[in-house]
Amino acid sequence: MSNFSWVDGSIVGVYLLATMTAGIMVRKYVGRVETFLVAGREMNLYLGIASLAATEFGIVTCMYTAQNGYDKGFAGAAPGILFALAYLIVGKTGFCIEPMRRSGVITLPEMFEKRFGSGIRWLSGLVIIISGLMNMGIYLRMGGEFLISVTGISGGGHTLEIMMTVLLIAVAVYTILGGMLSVLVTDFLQFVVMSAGLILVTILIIYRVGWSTLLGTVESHYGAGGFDPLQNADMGWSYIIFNSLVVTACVLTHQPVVQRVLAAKDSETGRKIFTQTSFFFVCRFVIPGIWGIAALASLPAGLVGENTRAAMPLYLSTVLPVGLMGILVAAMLAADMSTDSSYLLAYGSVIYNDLLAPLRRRLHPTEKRGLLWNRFIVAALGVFFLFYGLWYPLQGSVWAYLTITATIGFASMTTLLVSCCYWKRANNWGAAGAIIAGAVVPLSYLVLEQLPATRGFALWIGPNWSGIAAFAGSGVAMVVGSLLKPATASVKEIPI
Amino acid sequence: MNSAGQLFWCLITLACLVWYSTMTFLVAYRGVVDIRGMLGRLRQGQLDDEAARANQP
Repeated sequence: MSNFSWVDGSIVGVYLLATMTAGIMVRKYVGRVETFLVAGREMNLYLGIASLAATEFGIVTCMYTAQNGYDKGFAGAAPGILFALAYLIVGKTGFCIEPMRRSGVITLPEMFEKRFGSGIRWLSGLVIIISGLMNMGIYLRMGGEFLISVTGISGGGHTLEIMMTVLLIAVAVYTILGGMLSVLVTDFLQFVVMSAGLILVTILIIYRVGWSTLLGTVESHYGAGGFDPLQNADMGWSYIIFNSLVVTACVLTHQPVVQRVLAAKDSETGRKIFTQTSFFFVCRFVIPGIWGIAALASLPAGLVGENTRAAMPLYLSTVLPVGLMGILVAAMLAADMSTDSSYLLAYGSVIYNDLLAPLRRRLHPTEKRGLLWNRFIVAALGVFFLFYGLWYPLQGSVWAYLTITATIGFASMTTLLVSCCYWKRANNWGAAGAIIAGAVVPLSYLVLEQLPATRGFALWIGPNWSGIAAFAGSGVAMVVGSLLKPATASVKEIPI
Repeated sequence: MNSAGQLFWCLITLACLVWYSTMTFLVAYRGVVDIRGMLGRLRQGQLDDEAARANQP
C-alpha cells in the first residue's frame, strides 16, 4: 500500500503549475529557428550545468541504475565513474567538442556535410534518428510504470496508457511552444526540484536501513563482485571496455548532449559545462544504486520475482512518509519531463535540420514556416514515443537494451566525428562504410536476441562483445573505405 | 570481507552527497542570473531586428 496522500498530490500540483507556467512564459522570445533549436547560443555555465544534468537524468535513468544496484551491488555504479572520467577528459582537452562548437552548426550531421558531403549528412541523420527513437522509445513507459508503482494509483486496465499520455502532454505543451528556450528554463527548475528530492530520499534511506546493512546485503548476495566490477560474474573486462566505449561515444555524439555544447555561448563555456558536470554522473549511478540495494535488503525475493527493475519503486512506495513521497514524485516528474522535452527537441532538430535539408533547399521556408515545421515534428515524435513505449516488449536489463540500441548510432557517429575533426584522409567512402558497419552489428544482435531459434547464440556472444565489435567494425570500415577511394575523386572538403 | 571495496564505495557515496548538495545550491543561485542574462540578450536581439526592419527604405 502506497503512502501517497493529498499532501503529496498538492506538492506535485504546485511543481507542475510552476514548471508549465515558466515553460510557456518564455515562448515570446522565440522568433527564429535558431532560437527554437539552440536558444540563440546564449546558454551560460550554470544554466548549462543544470540543463545537462537534468537532461541526462530521467525516470528511466533512475530505473536502470537502481536495477544495476539491485542486480550487481555497488559494482553496478561502475559506468557512472566511466561517464565522469569521459566528461572530465573531453571537457579538459576539448577533444572534438572544441571544433564542433567553433563550426557553428546546429546538429552533428550538418558538421559531417562539411567533410563528407550532403549524402553522408542525410544518412548520418537517419542513423541518429533510428538509434535515438529506439532508445527513447521506452522512456515514457518507464516513467509511467514508476509513477503507478510509487503512488499506488489503480484505475482499471488503462492506467499505464493514461499516465504515459499525461506525461507526454505535460512535456509537449511547453516544448512545442518555446523549443530550447523553454527546455532550458524548465530544466533549471527541474534540476533544483530533482536534486532536492534525490538527496532527501537517499539520506532517509541510509538512515532507515543503515549503512552497514547496505554493505552487508551486497556482501552476502554478491561477495567481492558486489564491490569490484572485475570480480562480478555478470561484468568483467568486456563489460568495462564496452561501457567505456559507449560512455565516451555518448559524451561526444549523443544529440541531446551535443545540443548543450552547441547552445553554449562559446566553446570555452561548453568545455566548462562538461568539466563541472562530470561528477554528477557518478551521483547519477550511485544514488539510485543505493535505492536498489536498499530494496534488495528490505524486500523478500519472492515479492520482486524476475522483473528486478520493479523492486526499487515497490520499495519506495512502502518506505517513504507523507510529504517526502510528494517530494519524490515531484522530483521524478521533474527528472522525466526535463529528459523527455530535451530528447524530443534534440531528435526533432535532426529531422528538421538534416533529414529535411533537401526539401528545405528547394522550398526556402521563412523563419515563421520553419518554426511551424519544427513544432509539428516535435508533436509527431511525441505520438511515436507513446505508441512505441506501449508496443515494445522490453525484457531483461534496461541498461543493456539502452547501450545496444545507442550503439547503432554511437559507433559510427563517433568514428565519423573523430575522423572529421582529426583525420585529413577521411572521405565519404569511409564514412558510408563506418555507418553501415556500425549499424549492422547491433541491429543483428537485437534480431538474434528476439528470435527463439537464435536466442542461445545471442546469449553466447553477449551484448558486450557485440557492442565492442560494432565500434571496431566501424573504425576499420572508415580506414579501409577512405584508403580505397582514389584521391582524385574526393568530395570537396571544407576545413573545420 | 572486502574492506577496500567497502571503503571505496563509502567514500564515493559521501562525496556524492556533499558534492551534489553543494552544486544544487550553487546552480540554484547562479542559474537565475544566467537565465535573466540569456532572456535579456534575446530580447535585445529582437528589438535590434525590429529597429533594422523599421530603418529599411
